[in-house]
Amino acid sequence: MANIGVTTSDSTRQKGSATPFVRVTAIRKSFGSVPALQGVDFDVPLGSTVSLLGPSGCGKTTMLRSIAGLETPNAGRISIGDSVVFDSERKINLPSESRQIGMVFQSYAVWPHMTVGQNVGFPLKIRRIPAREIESRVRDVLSLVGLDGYGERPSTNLSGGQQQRVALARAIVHEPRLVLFDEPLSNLDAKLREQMRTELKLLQDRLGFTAIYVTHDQEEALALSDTVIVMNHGRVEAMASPRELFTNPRTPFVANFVGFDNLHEGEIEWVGPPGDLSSNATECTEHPVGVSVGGLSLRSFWRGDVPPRLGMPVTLAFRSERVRIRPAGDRNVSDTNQYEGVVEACVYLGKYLDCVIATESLRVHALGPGDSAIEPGDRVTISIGPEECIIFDRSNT
Amino acid sequence: METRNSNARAAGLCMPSSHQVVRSRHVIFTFQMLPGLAVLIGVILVAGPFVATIVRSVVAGPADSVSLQNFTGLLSDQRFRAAVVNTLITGTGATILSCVFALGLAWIVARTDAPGRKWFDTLNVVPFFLSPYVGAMSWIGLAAPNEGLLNHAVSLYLSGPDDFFNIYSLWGVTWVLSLFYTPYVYLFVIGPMRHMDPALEDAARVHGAGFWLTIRHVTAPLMMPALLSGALIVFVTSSGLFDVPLALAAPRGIHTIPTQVFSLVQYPSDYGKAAAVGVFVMAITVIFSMLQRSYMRRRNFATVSGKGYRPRIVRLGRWRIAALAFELFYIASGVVLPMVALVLVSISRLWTGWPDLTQFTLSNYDEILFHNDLARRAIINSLVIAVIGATIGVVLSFLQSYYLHRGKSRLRPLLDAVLSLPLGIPGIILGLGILILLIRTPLYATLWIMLLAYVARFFPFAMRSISAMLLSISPDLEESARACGASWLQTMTAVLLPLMKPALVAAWLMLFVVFIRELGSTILLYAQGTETISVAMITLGERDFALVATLAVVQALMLGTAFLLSRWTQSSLVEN
Repeated sequence: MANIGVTTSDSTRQKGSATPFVRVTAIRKSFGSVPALQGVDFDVPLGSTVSLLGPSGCGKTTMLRSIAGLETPNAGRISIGDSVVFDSERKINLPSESRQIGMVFQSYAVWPHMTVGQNVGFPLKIRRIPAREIESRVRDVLSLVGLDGYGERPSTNLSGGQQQRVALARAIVHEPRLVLFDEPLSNLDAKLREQMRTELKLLQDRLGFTAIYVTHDQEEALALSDTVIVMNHGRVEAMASPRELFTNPRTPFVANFVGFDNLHEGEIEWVGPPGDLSSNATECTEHPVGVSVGGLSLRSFWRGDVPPRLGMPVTLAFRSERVRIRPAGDRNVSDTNQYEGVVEACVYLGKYLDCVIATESLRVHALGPGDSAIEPGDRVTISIGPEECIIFDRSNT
Repeated sequence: METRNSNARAAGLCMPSSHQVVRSRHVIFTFQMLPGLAVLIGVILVAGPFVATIVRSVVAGPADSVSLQNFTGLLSDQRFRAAVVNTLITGTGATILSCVFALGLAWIVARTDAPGRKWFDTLNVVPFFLSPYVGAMSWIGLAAPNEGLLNHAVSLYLSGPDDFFNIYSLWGVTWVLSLFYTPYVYLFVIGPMRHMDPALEDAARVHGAGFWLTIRHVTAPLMMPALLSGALIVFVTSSGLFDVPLALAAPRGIHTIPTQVFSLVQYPSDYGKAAAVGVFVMAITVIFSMLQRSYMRRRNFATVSGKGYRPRIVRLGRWRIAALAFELFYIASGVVLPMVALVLVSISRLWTGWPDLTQFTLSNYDEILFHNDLARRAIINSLVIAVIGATIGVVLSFLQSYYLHRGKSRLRPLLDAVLSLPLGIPGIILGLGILILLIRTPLYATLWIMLLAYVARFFPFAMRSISAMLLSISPDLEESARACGASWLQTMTAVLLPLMKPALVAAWLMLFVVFIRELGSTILLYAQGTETISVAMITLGERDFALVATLAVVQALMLGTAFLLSRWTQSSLVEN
């Protein structure tokens, strides 16, 4: 256990290196006639953390359990390090216990008939490590997760956070090369969840294990991972760094999932000449375009791969917190995309005021500052910066 | 008066005026005493026979003086010591064997892809509904030396001796007890087996334990509390069972404690000595139940959580056949073969150990149903006692459960322990206590004393299942009714009782089944005219085995009907 704090620098340096450590190829799995995974491919570089993000039923947990060997896919190939653990063609299917991994379960799965120490020491005991060494390694890893002196305690009557720590300690005590997390924080209350998220991040940076992390919470995925994989209907919908995913989602589904809560269908009304309106426009050509959404005209930029056409059906997306709200008639000359509307509903959230505003033909979600004195029925002016909008081509769907 | 009533009713549901509050408080006071009253009755039912037995056990000698003579006499009694040893052999054997059966069957049904699992889940509990005495009778038909069906088959097809199986032995007793007590353990372990969080086992696999190591370190220890509870019940009840040893061991002069008590009460009777045996058994029961309570307190972890876990199914591959064979073996031994043997015997003019088509007749049924006074009286008596007894038992145990789980008395743990005592006390010991208690009252030799014995012996069983349901219903539901202004009685009838209906119906059917077949608690209490079916079988058994088999088939049909009803109501009640 001596090297537990030392491996850090090496593995952080390797982060993002080209060698994939976990390689998932064309995985398919169905439960009866219900398809759960419909050809999933991705790589996880050594020492990095990848999140599988998606709504419930998207197949993320099935994918994780397939890597763990707890589900058997119908087809495809999974390798961990230099060993192929599953290959439907070569009929390879290594049992879970031979895959040399650690895993934290959603329900923690802390064994109620064992003490905390016995729970954590289990992977070592199974590996026939001498009792004396187990004892010292369990003590080390318990202090690492903040449970000093809990070894002798019964594992019943632990709080959710403590159970989570026990499960985490058990998953890393045998220094596995790969640790899997199945929604580990979803059973904790909000405050504890944030705290554990930070601790998990620090621990991971220190120990440098490769991690695959399943969650339905976008914040968690953004906070913890080097790469986020968004899954939908058993397919990989997007794979990107957190920053890229958050600022420039590639599909309306992903956009919606990372907080673009205003999605409107419309079509392209006019196309301006490509230009570098933003200072660092280099290879990416941005066309200023006008989009007509239900009679309203919005100005924005086209960043798609194919050039924009007049009349092209598109989906326009923007975040509610980027909508500016001002009293009616208070127009700002420099703002484009300004519309008059009536406040339909307001929900006070402390920091924010979550409003639904109806313009002539659109219903817009907008977040105002918490101290604004807006009330339902008020007339307001809203504006959306052209650069805050993303336009998705809808002609293929 | 009428207007006041309707006012009270209207006000009861929303805003009571001060006038009606006073009035309804008075009503609440009386009705709310019911649970406490039921507990009191329960305590008397348990304590009465207990105290009577203890008092009688220290009275000995021609002068009825107080002494420990009965106990010292018992200790030096060779026959009693042999009976203790025999009881330990059959009880331990039956416990081990039924645990093996139950674990195997439950695992196959809950955790494997063996064929026909849904069917077996139902079939596995069928022996629970048959009476062990009927089981013993049918196994006589199957494995009696020289005249058993199986022995005939052995000599016919395998040219073995035709006394290859000898059911008249301690092995026979153990075998029949195991078959018919397997469902007890099965019902205890199938729940945890099915609802255990599969992640607990997955976690072991992922962290390096293979199939067997996972079973050893995780599955088995987690099943242990349920298994031990089931095993304890089987040990205590099978050791205390009177009918099976009476049918299978007593004819060869082999005695267990219950048959020993029976012969002590027969002429020339020695009540003092019988009571001493009773005290001995009761002491053991109390010690056992205290041990169990302290064990369960230490391991009160819940493997069964409210979540609907889907257990991981083990793919057996070619072992599926072995699993199927194991299931079939149990169902054949516990249900099919016994029923076949009974029916064959009951329709044979003369049973010679092998069915003879030319000798088939329905005359036995004609005799039992239409001519034999004893049998007809017994059927009516059994039905009457079972229906009334089950109803009283359910009302009593519902009120007791309510008191124990919703009441505020600080005595509840103690009362719970006292009311649970009959779970472990053999029927014949409780019957003895009631006999000693009431022999000089007008109740003696009536159906009422039988009813009393039945209810006293079995209400804790109903209380168990009703309590389980009550614990799963949040008190919020009742409190919100009270908050709306409903009285205690209105809350009971409008909220709690409808919610409890499935458990109440299930408990009623269970008591009905138990009362139809019970023998031990009434064998010392019946008199001319108050015989039950099980008593009639014993009396008839001295003359004609075919008539016993016929009556057994009739009893099995009644029990089968109750079983089908319980399955049917369970599904229909749950759907609602």
